[in-house]
Amino acid sequence: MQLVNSETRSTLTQRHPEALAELDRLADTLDASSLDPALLDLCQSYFATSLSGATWSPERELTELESDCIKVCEQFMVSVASMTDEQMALLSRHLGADDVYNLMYAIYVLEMSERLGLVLKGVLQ
Amino acid sequence: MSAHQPRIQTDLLTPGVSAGGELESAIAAFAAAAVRANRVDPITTELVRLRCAQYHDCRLCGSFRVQAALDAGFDEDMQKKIGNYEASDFSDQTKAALRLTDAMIMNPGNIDPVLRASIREHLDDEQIVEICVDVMKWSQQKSLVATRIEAPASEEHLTQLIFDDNGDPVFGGPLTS
Repeated sequence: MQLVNSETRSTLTQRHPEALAELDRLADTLDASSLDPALLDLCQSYFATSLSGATWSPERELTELESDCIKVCEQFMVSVASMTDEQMALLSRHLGADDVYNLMYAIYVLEMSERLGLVLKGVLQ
Repeated sequence: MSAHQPRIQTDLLTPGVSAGGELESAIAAFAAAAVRANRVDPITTELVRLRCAQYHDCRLCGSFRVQAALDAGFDEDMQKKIGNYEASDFSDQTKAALRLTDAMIMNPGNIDPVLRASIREHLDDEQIVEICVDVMKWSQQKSLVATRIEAPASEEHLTQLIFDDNGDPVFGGPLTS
């Protein structure tokens, strides 16, 4: 998976190559993880669309896990401080503690990478 | 301060699989790379870090103060001004850094020309990239906030946070003033 697009890659290559190298390592780590790649792609699609201000809708029918995961992604994006016990319990219905822990870190990486790219584009490009 | 209860059973986490696993290690390496960049002064970096902590309600982040910022003159009066920084006596550069932080957290897809100009007037390109990478780094605790396993280092006092030459965190002792 790619965490940043070509424009962001170009900016980071010039201004912060160490960060870019570690983002690439993070992408490789996500690819090699036990997390479902289709689920990660879905989260990335959700963040890319929603953070740019558009309305996201799935291109196919979602599984129960995918649907619940998107609900968690939405709250994570809008305000993680307001995440509720019930929202996080949506993931625990499907996943064990290790997978929930890793999925939340993956969501962080995907969400903040999108934010990084959008702001660098908006301010610098 | 620590009213929240963990939302995952931490005793069920497998060392090296989740906690301390490959993904967490890769995030730590990214974080260290962010910390090693030093085009932005330590006080501004600390204010950006604490702004992120406020937004995310990260009890752990809020319980630390970075020693490099303290050495540069950071004090708790500065921390109290973050919430209303536009009306503060912070420098124009620090205000621009906090505006950039807010944009990344609140509305990354809609940087208007006025905001863009106000940021670029006071920060060069390297500083802008460093702050954005820092905001990503200082937001890594969002995952722990979501699961509410970001308990503060201490309920009683602020705690010293030092970064070593590689950018890795070293947790120090209590700060008393």
